[in-house]
Amino acid sequence: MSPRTTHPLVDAYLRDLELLLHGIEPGERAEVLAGVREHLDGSLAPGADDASVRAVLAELGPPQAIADEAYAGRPAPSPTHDTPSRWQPVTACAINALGLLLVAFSTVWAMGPWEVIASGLLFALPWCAAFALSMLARTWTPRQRLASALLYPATLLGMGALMAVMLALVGPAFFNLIPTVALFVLAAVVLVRLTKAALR
Amino acid sequence: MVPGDDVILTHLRRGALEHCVLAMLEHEELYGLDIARRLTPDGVLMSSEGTLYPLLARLRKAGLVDTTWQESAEGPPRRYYSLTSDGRASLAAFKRTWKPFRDAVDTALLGGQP
Repeated sequence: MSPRTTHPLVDAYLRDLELLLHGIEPGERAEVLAGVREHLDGSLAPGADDASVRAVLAELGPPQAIADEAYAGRPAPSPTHDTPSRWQPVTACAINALGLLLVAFSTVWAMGPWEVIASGLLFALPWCAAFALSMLARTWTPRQRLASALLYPATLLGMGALMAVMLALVGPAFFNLIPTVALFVLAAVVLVRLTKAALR
Repeated sequence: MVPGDDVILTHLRRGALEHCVLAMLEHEELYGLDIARRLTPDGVLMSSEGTLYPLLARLRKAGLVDTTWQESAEGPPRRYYSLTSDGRASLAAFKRTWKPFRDAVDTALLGGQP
């Protein structure tokens, strides 16, 4: 092989370009870098002076322009883009699980639907956090975000309403347990699905 | 905000430039530096030579050009680019559509009166 152009400016230029092309698939990145390298070898004599190196690099254009072209037509890379963080949806699920447990306990111990809803208000602050975290969960679809954000209040109000209806229709009876448990299982299933999606 | 000349040029180049590269290769194989020199004399088609290389990589990935190494008298072996049959077909399609497109834009710029 014949000598390659070595000049601090050329080396710095190629290093910058390589860093900027970080998000490009390795084969393509190598091809772009080799093309630019070849271009430099072809247009600079070994031992070229600073002025001619600067002129050739100026004609190549800023490394950013080359990188922009390489990224053209695909999503711009960002450090967080490749691995969207999971802690928001996972934490939201954990808070929701606590909330559902609270609803279950208050359903068993409370004296009536209003007491269930009143004790559910104790969880208002954690729920606000779960709501915000759900909305920030980038690994979830918009529908999943909404489901996670509204799971707790929907279960709580549903439970209160169900109790009120059952008490009015049937009165206090063991039979009331069946729809209550069904509603709770439904909420739990939604939560399990959300958790699975969050951990995927 | 009114887009400047540079912005408009950048948009216009998209879709046209890659076919200009294919056109360079229609009758001969060329290496990167040759293509760059032919495309940048006035800076209209390409403002910086370096942007050619991602474009060539993309064309090769799309199967429109092929590369071969050839020895050169003056230095290291060079990567020569040639058109594949898909590349030829793509260039022919661009040639077919370009003239009506250019005419339509010219007509529109004159107020739509042919």
